[in-house]
Amino acid sequence: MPHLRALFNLGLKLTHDPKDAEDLVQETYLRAYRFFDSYESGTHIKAWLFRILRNTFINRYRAAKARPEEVDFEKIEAGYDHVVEGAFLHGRRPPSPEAVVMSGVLDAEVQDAMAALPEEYRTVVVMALMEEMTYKEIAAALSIPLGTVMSRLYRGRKILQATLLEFARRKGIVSGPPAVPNTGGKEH
Amino acid sequence: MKPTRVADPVDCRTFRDWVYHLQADEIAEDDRRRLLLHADACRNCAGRLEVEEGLLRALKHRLERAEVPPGLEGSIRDALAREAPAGRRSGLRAPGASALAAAVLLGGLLVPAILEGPGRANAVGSDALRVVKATTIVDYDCDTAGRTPAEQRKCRNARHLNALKVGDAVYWNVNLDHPAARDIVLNPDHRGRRVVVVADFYPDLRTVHLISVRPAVPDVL
Repeated sequence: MPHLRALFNLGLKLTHDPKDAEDLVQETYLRAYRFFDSYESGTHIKAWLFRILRNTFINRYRAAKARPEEVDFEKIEAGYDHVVEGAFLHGRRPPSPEAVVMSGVLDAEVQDAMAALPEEYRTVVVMALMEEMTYKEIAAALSIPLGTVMSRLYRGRKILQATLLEFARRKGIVSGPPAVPNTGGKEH
Repeated sequence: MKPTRVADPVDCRTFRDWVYHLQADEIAEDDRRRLLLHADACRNCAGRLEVEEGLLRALKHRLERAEVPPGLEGSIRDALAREAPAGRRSGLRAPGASALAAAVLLGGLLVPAILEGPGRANAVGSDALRVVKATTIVDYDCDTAGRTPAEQRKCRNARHLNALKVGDAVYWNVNLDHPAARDIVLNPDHRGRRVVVVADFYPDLRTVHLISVRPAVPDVL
């Protein structure tokens, strides 16, 4: 079935629960079938299905939330840049960050960081990094401007990579202040 | 059109702000060239690019896609099959619309049909019937509108898909998972041709999963 795995993975990243993700995906296909007239022939079908899935998720799971999630991105970015520039740049060459994070970082670390991302960032990160959709396709799927896609991806990626760097810092592989502040990526 | 908003000249802050989009190949060629020229001349930004490349690879590795749970696809197909009659009554009024919806969502055509005629049928599991059947490839919408095969072959409506006609006003869907299926479903030149299909037929979905297709007469398909 086309795009089933992609939809399930986005559902999983949004709900954090396999059973909820299954329900969400099934509901997505049913809605797509019922409202197929709204699909424009020749346009990106995956983007259209993603839009239905995300809207279904928002209707189901976000209604109870009092206000949008927030992150102190400036603080995260400052910590991230400090670690990157201090530990890897200016001529010093410790083991590559790739080697560092691949050697020991726990999947749970990244999954937790992903779960802590605000939903808007998480959705764009999944579409761009896991599904390798173009900015234009993501913008169409989420009905948002291209610039918003770029901004959300930039922030989402930086928050996740800050988590990887923070892991390396805690292991003593790189030095500097925390790349992720205590509030990093969480609601406050 | 990729955005072209990278400041000129490029400094280290500009490079930092655009490095992710550079990696995603989502900037104009001229901007890409200017950013890379800056990195060539700036040791720190070259280092940043290297670091970011490594972190991106690591991140993608850690964000591997989960497998679809067994049974999910079947549940969705069942739900859609239950939905089909309701869809024809309301939202998807026309059988053709139902067919197109299922074609896109499931990879097959969904049109009103019943299993009948001289085809041999043997039970295959609980859902499917193994069938061997001589059929005619038709443009479903044109055929139901009474157009001749010659007229159907000239039709270039992109929303019109081919189906297998197995009797008067009886059509079968074709699931697109077989290598030959896409050609059968999408190629207007096949309309009017007689073929013998060996397939698993799903009555609820009126869909066949092709096993093999051969011309009913030599050199037809």
